[in-house]
Amino acid sequence: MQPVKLKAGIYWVGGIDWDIRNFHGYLTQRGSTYNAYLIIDEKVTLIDTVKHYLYDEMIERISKIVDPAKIDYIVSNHVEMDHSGGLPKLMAVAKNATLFTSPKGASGLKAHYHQDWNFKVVKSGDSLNIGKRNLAFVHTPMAHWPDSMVTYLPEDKILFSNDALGQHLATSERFDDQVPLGITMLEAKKYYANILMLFDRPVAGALKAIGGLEIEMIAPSHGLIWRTHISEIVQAYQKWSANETIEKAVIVYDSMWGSTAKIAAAIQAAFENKGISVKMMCLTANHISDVMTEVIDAKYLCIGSPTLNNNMMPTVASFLTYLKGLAPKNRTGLAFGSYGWSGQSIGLVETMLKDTKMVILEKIKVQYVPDQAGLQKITVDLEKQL
Amino acid sequence: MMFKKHRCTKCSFIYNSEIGYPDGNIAPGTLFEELPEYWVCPLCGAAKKFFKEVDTNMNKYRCTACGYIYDPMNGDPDAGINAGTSFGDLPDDWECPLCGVGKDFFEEVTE
Repeated sequence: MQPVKLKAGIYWVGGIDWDIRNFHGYLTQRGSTYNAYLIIDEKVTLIDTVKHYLYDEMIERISKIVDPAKIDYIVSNHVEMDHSGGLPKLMAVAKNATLFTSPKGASGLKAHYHQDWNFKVVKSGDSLNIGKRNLAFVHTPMAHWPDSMVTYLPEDKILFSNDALGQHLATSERFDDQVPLGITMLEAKKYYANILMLFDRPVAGALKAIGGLEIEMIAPSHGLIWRTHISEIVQAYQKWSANETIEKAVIVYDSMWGSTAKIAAAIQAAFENKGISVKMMCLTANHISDVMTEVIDAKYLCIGSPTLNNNMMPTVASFLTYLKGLAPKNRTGLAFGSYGWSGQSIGLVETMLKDTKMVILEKIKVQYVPDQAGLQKITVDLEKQL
Repeated sequence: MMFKKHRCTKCSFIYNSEIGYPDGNIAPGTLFEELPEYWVCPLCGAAKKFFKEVDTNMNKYRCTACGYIYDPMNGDPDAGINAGTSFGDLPDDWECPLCGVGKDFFEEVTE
């Protein structure tokens, strides 16, 4: 296990989680990394740690450069356990280390680990001299936790952005120009959609806060380090956090006997006829976290469920709960579905869409099995509303 | 007639136009605007310009980032905000006690 040099005296010393596929419900089909960064200066400084089970890997990488007991400063940008999980063991080894974190970081770490470590609380705008270099701390509350903070190293023009601008992507490569950009951007998009979508305004605020900085590298806490495609990822974040959408529809549904699937196809035809890009996402074939990646820039969201037990199908309820939490803005919604006798599902879906403040198109409800004429009417009627 | 209240930003003394300030020969019903320019805060002596109209909107406000609800009836004692302080009267640098975002992330609870 080797460290990877970012610049003279600055190293990636994180852990690679090749096998993780379920990140609190988010399907991480390409695994992930937890990035810790070591700075060798008059004060040996570590920025963030790794998930607890990758502690040994981090220590092995650090030990190739310096004895971990000699770490003077540890910066905790974020309390969440994939970045702080290495702290309990590390604080026992680096006995003299001071732990720099935001006020909410200190209270959060205490509430996680119940240890009275040598905390030093830093305010937004505070600077810490570590020898030839300085670390500047910028709080980014709710991008994506109250404690969230980024650390900027002006002498080397590196921004340690923590979860912002990260990607769940396990690779032995460490930089954005060593992996096809399409894969990295897709994973960055999926990360934003599933972790940050709800926090669009705090993200916009964080982007503004770092906007004036001269940046040659963005070193996030997951995935690859940006050094060649910085403007691409920053512009993408600006677009996503502004809730910019394109003429695109995502049709999300489940079906019991194929009728709701038929309605979905009739809806698809309406968008196709209008030249609007469509993505069909049956929930038995697509993970909800992949659906969210498509939702990020889609103007139209059409959600279909047949009525099962006087309710919507659990697959659709699960997706809608997730969608409501991530709360995309400026969207147009449509509820649809087939039913047998009571037909509650369509109204329940529509209520959930209204709860997310979407503009609502006229809902589509068909008893039992739609016939050809009925399907054509669905297409024609919907086209008129687009 | 609605009687407005004005709070001294220096010492928090409240001038209530309904009561006036009889000890200082200000008759009940005297509007804040009608007080002479040389009038000063009876408690701390601050000039009239240091008074700010009391926001009487006692509605709750919700943090759009984390869902916390600011209720003027409770204030935010940990941040030194007394019960009875309207959202509008919170200082500009007040932050959500749960998640730390600023006042501009809050929206009025209307339902």
